Amino acid sequence: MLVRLRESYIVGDRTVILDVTIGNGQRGYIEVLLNGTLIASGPRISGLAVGADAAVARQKLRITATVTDTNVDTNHTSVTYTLSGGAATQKFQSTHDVDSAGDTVDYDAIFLLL
Amino acid sequence: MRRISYSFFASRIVGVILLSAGIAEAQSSASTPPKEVELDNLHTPTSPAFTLLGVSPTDIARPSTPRALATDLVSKTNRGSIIPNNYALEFAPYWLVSHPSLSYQEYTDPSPVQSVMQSFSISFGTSRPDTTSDTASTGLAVGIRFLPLAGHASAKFRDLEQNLDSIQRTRPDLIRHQADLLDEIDAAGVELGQLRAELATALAAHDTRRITNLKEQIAASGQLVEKAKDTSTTVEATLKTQADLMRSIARDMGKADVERVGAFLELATAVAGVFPAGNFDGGKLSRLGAWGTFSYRMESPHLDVISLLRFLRDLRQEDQNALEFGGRLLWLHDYLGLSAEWVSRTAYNVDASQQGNASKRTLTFASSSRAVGVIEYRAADAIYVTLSFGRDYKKLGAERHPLVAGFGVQFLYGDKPVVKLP
Repeated sequence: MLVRLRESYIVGDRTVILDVTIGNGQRGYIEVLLNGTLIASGPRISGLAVGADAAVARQKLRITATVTDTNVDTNHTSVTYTLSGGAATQKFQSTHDVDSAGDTVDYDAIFLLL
Repeated sequence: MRRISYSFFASRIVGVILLSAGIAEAQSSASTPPKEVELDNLHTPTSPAFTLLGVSPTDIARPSTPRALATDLVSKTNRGSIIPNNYALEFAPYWLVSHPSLSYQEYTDPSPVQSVMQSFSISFGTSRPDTTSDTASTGLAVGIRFLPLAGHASAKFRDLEQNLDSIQRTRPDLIRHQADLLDEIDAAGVELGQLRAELATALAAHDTRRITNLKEQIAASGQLVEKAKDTSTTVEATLKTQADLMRSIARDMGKADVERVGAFLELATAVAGVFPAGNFDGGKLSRLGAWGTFSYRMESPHLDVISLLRFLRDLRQEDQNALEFGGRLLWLHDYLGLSAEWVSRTAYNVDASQQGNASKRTLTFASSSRAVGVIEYRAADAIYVTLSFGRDYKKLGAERHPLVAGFGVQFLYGDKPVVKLP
């Protein structure tokens, strides 16, 4: 299962900060790319400085995550993306409930920085 | 709900032929002795309501959403007007809803507060032995259980976690490729829609050149879509193969999570009542129970230290009132297991008597304890040899504890851990 998110985010003079959280106690792996270049990876992204104003305007910020249902207590999976430092702090969330224990859900989010 | 495994040697398989010889001193009893209890009876139950009712239901409702919980309760109780017969319900409030901010670290290595929230469970059960009479009483119990301390993951769990990580790290490129293909197919679909609309306009206008041009564009776009779909199918197959492997590892992680190590504190309590004729009116409290288990498990060497406490108050059978506590030390190495356990039971009774104008309540106690050491050796795949030595519960009126000295050989057969009744 692949969950896609396509959004835009208005940047400002301050540095854009990205936080990505894999929720519901599930195990996952995240990669963050800016215009196709890998800038961060790991099971959680916290306080990643993406860039400010002209440096990132009209660039694509792409977050790819794979989440496996390792939590025996729930079949919920979710990825929460929080962008701050731009015109406003915005939180986006993608969710999916797996059918069977141990299933994997893939998430791909592209934010066009304006 | 997080469950902890207390399995020891030879506890997984039933179908046992036990040969044993024991020596016990003959006893004379002056009055009713305290009921004997095994250490394993004192373990904090996963479902304290069922334990207090004395039932082991096979059909337990475990709703996973608030709606499912409400639907089950409303339907079984006829909107709260009757007590259902032989009903068992168990749920963990925390897990009824999604928790998008709960990280993997917080789940696998929770703080005491997080552990209580995640492990808190409620059990509810009813029991009506006599289902032939409409006026028969129904037993009803409610219990809670939670773990302030839940240990931490074992080395085996961490190894599986690393295996899973290594596969997850290879996936993002494939995911992006698949996502790009799906975006391409979606965009082509939109474009095809627009082209077909333009074709309809051109046909209406009998614009032959435009019609030919649009048909060529539609054909080319359709070919691109088909090519993208074929590639997507191939990528999907690779992702599915990886997902199947990850599923297997994730399920093994779930099994390994039961065998956590470190410090555990498990607490439970339950209350039971009796309701005449299956109605909520006229119900009376019948039993109270509280359990506590503190244990520490070491991975290497494999050493378990367990202490247990159980309090039972039975308002109908006074000889069931008791405060029991015990401990066990277990060491496992290859095929050899050494354990020592001690259990103490203090039965109590409250007598009310009238002396003149004053009423007097007397609390009486009767205590006894049992201490046994056990050596267990797995002689073969299905053969266990057991030696036990110690002292048993002292009977009331007796001066000494009976000796426990036993030798046993267990022959285990059957592949399944449970033998189903016909």
